[in-house]
Amino acid sequence: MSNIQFGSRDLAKYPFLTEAGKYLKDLDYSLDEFEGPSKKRIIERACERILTAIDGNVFKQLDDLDTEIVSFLIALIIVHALGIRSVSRKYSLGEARRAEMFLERDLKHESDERMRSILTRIFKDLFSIDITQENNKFKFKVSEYLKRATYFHDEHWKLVNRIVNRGFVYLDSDDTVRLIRDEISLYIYDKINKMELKQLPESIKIKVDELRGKVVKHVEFRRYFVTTKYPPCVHHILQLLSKAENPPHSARFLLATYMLSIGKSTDEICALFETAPDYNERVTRYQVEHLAGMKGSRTKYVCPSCEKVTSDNNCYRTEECDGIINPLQFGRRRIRNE
Amino acid sequence: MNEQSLNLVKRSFKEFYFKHTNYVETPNRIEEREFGYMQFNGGMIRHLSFKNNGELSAHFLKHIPSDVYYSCAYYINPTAPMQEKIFKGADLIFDIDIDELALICAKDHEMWICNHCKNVMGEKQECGKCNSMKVEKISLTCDNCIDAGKGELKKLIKFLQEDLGIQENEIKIYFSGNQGFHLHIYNTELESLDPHSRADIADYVMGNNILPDSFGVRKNSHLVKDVISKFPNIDDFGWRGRISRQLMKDDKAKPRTVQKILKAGYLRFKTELDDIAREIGAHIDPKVTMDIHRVFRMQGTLNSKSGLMKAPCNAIDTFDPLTNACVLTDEEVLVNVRYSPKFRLKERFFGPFNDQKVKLPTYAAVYLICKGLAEV
Repeated sequence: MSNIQFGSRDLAKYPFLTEAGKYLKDLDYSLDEFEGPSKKRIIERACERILTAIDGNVFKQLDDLDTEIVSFLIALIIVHALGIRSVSRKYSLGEARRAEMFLERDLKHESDERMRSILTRIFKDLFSIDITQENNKFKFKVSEYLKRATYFHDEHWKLVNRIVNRGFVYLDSDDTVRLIRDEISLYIYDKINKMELKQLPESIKIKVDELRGKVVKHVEFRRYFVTTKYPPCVHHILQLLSKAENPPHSARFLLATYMLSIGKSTDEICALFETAPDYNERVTRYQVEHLAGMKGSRTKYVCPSCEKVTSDNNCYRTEECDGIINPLQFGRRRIRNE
Repeated sequence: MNEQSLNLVKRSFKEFYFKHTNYVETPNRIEEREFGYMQFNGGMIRHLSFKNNGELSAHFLKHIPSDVYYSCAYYINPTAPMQEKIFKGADLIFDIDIDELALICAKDHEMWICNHCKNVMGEKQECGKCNSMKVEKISLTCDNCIDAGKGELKKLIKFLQEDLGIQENEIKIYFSGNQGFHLHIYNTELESLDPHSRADIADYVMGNNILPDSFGVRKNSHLVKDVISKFPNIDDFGWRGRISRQLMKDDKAKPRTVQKILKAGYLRFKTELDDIAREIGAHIDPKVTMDIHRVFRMQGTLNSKSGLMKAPCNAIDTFDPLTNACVLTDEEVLVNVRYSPKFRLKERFFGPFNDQKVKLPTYAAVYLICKGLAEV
């Protein structure tokens, strides 16, 4: 399994693998060479990769294998030189989606053993994790799985919806690919940030300036529709209070942090708790001010995520909640500028 | 509690800590933990650190705390303020609260006590004597409660060992000293997990949010043949196997079971999954598991809500917390009991009492005083 030989086609698809670095060394490329016109095509290709990713699309070309491998590296250099964080993020994600596309495609056409070896190698190379295979499934240690999967908000990724046995989570190839997409994205983003460049060739400098102008056009300004309706979880707590019932501590925390986040004053928030049977003005005020970062540790507490609200049994999800991961997003729909 | 009662409790606790320093079980990696304790006159002292067991025992013998806690987390600077402690990792902890199990025996030993005048009431209501709304639930744990708690423990351990691969020697179980069990996991791979991952583990053992889709049943599934290949066998791993064993006797029943599910529809199946999970999942307090900065009661110390000790439970079936955790002396004292249903401590049954003076062994007297039901 570990003896797999990567060809230039593999490396063009997965240029972040350590083998790609060795391959480039063998080709004996140096940055100074990019002054000449012969490398213009590679620089153009690198810019194409970047602009495609910024547009939210996947760069699909796989024509000239050497160009694809080298242009990835040049694109990293350009994105680093641009120094715009949102571009670095979008580019990293774009490259990860490209890898995901090839992995999915290859899984259908290439031999199983070869593809599985590539997936295993990606994990080993990029994240120093050994994953094993059993009955056509990939086995991850529970701790390794959780460290990655908890960033996905879809319930499909929750441990309870996976096959778990004796400390391992079993994933099929599709889910394994999806799991590593974000990891690859983070890996590339990290690589861009940690890059140390001394002097850039003039040909690349010109492209960086050119791209800067183009990139500004692509930066999206977002507007939101906002409703004044409270999310059902918050609404439920307000109803409990209106009936002079005692909401649990976690619900009070949710109500107070939610109200603070939408800009209510501490006076307004304290007033909401007045109907609670155990209401104590002094204690309530101290606690609300503590959450607002005005007392104690000066930490400003944020509204808990929908996941946490659900775990605390305070979730009263309705259809309107579809697609949100925090009660603060309720009723807020993003629209894009034309 | 009045001054005489407070003195009795303090004296008993002091005697325990002087006689039984060996009961106090120092946590591992003691230098990386934060310690704290409650004082009898109220107030919590936190951000303490000790180098070894001797230093720790000496401190508590000097101060005689009402409750002793330590962090489940390991810190670089355990004595620093919270933001500067620098988190290194934390034990994975589970808390089973018997009070939350909604047991039918609760009606026999659950009562409400007014925080102002200490009037004891059968149900939650405004105090009939002083009209205060500040009432607190009190419960005297019975054998049925203990058995139910043990049942939840066994379910939890099965999830931890069979599914999550935690070894027997990585699990330590304790009676909390009042109304529950604590389960500590010492596993180096799990100690670095963040609160989200811990919440996911809590949801796993509870069976929260199991999706019909995990069984091949989608919102638009209509045909048995589309679902059957993804529907679990009864010997499948984890929740898939557990649920399928509840739904059918053997794999031969699969087509019939799937047909029934499809006929009832996606939402009905989701409700059925939730119902099964509630029945066979472990009932734990998820907030405890996901909180990495919590200070936790120290093993071998006394619980001021009962005067019982947080006691190690090495063999679940034979462990009797009402005996093993009852460590105060037998010396008799006279107390005035406002009200108490019949209860057991060690091998003896006491009560019921209703506004009467009785001579009780110190352990039983302190138990009722700590519960707010008696005074010296």
